[in-house]
Amino acid sequence: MKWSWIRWKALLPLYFFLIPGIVLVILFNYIPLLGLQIAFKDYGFREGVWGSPWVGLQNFKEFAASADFWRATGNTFLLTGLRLALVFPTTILFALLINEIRSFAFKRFVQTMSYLPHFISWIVVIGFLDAFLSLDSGGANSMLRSIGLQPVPFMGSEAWFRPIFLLSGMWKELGWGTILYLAAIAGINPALYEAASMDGAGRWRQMWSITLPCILPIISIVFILQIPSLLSAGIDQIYPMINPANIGVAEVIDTYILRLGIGQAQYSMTTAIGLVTSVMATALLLGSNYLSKRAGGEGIW
Amino acid sequence: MVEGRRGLGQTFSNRTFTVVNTLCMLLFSFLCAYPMWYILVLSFNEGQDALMGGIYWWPREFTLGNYIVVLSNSIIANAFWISVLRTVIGTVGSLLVTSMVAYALSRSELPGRRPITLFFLLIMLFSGGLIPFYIQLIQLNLINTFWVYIFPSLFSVWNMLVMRTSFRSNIPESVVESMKIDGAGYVRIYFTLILPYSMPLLAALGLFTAVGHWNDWFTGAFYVQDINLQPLPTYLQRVMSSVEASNMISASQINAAREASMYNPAAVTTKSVRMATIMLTTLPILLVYPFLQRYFVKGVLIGSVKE
Repeated sequence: MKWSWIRWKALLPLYFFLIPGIVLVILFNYIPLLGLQIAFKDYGFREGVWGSPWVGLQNFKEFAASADFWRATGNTFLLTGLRLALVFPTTILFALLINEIRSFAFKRFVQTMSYLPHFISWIVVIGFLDAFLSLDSGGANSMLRSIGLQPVPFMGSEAWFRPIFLLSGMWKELGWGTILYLAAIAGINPALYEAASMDGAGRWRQMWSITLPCILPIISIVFILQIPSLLSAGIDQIYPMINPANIGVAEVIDTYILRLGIGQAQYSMTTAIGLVTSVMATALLLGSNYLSKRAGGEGIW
Repeated sequence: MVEGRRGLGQTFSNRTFTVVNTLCMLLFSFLCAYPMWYILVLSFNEGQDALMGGIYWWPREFTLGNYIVVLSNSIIANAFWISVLRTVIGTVGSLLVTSMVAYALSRSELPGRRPITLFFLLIMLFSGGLIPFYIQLIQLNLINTFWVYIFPSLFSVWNMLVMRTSFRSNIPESVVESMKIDGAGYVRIYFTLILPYSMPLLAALGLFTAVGHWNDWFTGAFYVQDINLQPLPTYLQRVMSSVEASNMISASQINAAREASMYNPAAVTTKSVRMATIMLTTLPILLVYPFLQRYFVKGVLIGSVKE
């Protein structure tokens, strides 16, 4: 059938439906993408993105020579690496343990409780931390005092920053992270468990020999998807926690970009940093996907 | 005989496992909920008294004073309304814009559907990053306006994909065809068939979007300088610094004479005011949480279905 004008006219509203979305994506996604060119320019507000002079790799040389940048990079990898090493396996273990709960009502209760922190704003979570850990009247320090110990400045200390970062992140996302795994577990064929228990396998054994292998494909997909987060430790969580006392271990790439970019208007240099990190994140994603497929596992494509 | 003994052993170890697991899960559930309880208790306790510490389970010197200070503060009342407005407008707008795109792309007879879909999908892979985005906000004169909360998040690719899949698979094509034969155009089909029949999905996605709007402190802190335009979580971020909290207390002391019978103004501290502000920010989330819960698994899983 030929495309007649009448047919086109009927389809016209569909194109109108697309317009707001297309305009928004151009304005807030594609134009900023073109704005990446200022990484190679000396951006001046009056000249704008297109009119500013090209400076080659000068911005990249500038941040590469800054000790603060390397400190932020080191902190980022340390924090995100620890997070991946700790939270990722704990989430799987937690999903397996939730699955072992036999009472439906209790299972539902545990899920309700453990999903809740995901919906609490980071700024509120930092408020909890501050209330519990503050030096003067925090619950933790009044406990320490009552057993005769010296109070500890938890929120303003380099030594305590990493544990607090990891534990608060775990508190917020551990429960929520189990959803995908639990859904995958629900899809496992019950006959496998019946056969195993006939052969005398206990609950613990079934967990390791049936449940875990069956959700391995999901585990590898989640792992691949988490690889790019190695480069972003999370502004929402870290920015409110940074103070002069802990900045040495707390400053990460994201907050460094924020402090120098928006705070001190060093647009070109911070865009260059952003460009390098996002290229690295994409490369890591593609690389881990490739390796996972090479190893015979699942990939995301 | 051997069989029987092994069976008994299994039952015993299974029972131990159940007990230990139940205890672990109870402990974990407690740890998830306790921080909120702790803040709630402190927010209802007199500030001076709380400074002595030792309050964990129940208020020692009960007072409504902290809430009176917080709720009578005009900046916080304003911040609350900014939060409500941005959440409502942002959520409704986002559902509308996103579902319109999803609907158009769900129609297989739309010429050019593939390249347009690709145009939207590409933004999931590449992003300009924080600073070019910020420069664009400056160029668009969105900095320091209310609309910076709305426009940049009006379209969500992720939600679009979820909706598109649902429009395709959950709405019978035969109904669409019969409506067409009756002379209904695409606009009418969208408003009288697609939207009403997708309400559960839209509610689920809308709740997640709304929570995101309500919890966002970042936009208000970095893209808006005008205090009168900052939402509640941004205000909370500022109250975390004591200066702001003591401003709030001294502002409330002007009215203190009037309310002196209701609470002891001298007992209010920066910390106790902060606790009440935290509760005020969290309460709406706790209220919608039971409704959200119905959609958890659904909302997350629809999105993760591989095509």
